[in-house]
Amino acid sequence: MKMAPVGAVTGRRSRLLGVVAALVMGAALTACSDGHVVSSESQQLYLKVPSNWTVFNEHELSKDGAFSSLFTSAPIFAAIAFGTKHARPGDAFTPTRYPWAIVVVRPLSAAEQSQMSLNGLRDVLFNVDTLQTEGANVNSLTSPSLLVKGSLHGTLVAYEIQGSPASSALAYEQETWVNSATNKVWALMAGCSPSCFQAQQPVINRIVQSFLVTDRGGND
Amino acid sequence: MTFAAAALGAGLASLLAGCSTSVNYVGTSSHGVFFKVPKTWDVFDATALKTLGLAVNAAANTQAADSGTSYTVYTSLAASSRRVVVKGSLNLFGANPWALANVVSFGPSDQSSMSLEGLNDLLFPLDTWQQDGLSVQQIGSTTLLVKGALRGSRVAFEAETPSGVLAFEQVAYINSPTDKAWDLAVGCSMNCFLAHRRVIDGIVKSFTVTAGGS
Repeated sequence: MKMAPVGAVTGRRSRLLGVVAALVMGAALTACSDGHVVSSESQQLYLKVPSNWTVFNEHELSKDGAFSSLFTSAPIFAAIAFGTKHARPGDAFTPTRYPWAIVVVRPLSAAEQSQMSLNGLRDVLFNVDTLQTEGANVNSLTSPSLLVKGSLHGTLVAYEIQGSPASSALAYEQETWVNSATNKVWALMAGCSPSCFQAQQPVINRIVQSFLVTDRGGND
Repeated sequence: MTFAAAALGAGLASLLAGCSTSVNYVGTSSHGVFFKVPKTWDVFDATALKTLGLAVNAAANTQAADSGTSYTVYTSLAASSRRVVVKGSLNLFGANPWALANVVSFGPSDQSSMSLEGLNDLLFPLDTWQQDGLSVQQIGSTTLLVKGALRGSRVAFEAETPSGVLAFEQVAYINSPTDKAWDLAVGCSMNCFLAHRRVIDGIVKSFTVTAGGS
């Protein structure tokens, strides 16, 4: 009796599987055609931005000094997408007339680990607390939502920050997750100028809703 | 076959003997927590806790829940001797070690601000004592604890309080939504703490939260 290796298929069955595979592949490509998928297998995250957005991946960002200068410590993973073809990575976090979305995974220092609270999660990308202390006008656009998924916990917040001059106002939505050990955060921030944010709210909402962290967040 | 059965029987008997003689289990399945104390220790019942002002007050808890403040849903106390109660009050500073456990339900404000460091203040207001100029010294380093969706810490302190100096080791866990915490402190005077280090360590190590953390 001849035995086939595990997973091997022959004859008519293989042709049938080929057709099924082609159909499945077709469905996947259709799903991809309505947006760019930004994902990291190692950091276990996924999100989708509109197909006409420009995406800068980790490799491109690492070569951009302006983008790197936005962080005090290098993230484990970063990607950024803009709703225009003419943006530069360094435009992240600025009150642009087009929306942007930035996703970052970064470790928490020992001090951050012991002091991190649900409130503190809003400051992991953009220190709202410090800005408020420095006199910026910070308005919460929605009530913060608590997020819990197994061992991961997090928050969903939206803010409008009015600095000086008034033209520097920035509006954004941010979803942040932290693991049980409180030593790693996954954050997605999507925003632009307040008028752009209002106009692009459905697009920004869809991006934030697509954000998925598949890490289990615990030690088991 | 007969030998194997006899060996198994002897093993089981010794296991059961071990279970039945060395420790008392203190805890509650409704709040998913227990710890073990030596069989020679006294475990305080609901009446004794009430006398000491440590009993859970259902009416006060309803009020706290309505007003969005945190409240204790479970308390237990065990001690090596009834002599921890002096003139109707709990003496935390004496030569008799005690173990005090709490389960706390957090209101929205504490839920938003609670951190691993904040767990240190669950049973005793160490931060407040420090702000009042009293000395609070950490003994050894903090151990981070992660058990699925539960996170927490284990740490020991020597603290000067308005009523005396105590030394204790504390273990605390918090759940993923950050709305419930389980904690246990075991301590006594500094001399007593050092003399009973092994027993105290055993009790702290036995602290188990069986409740799901998410």
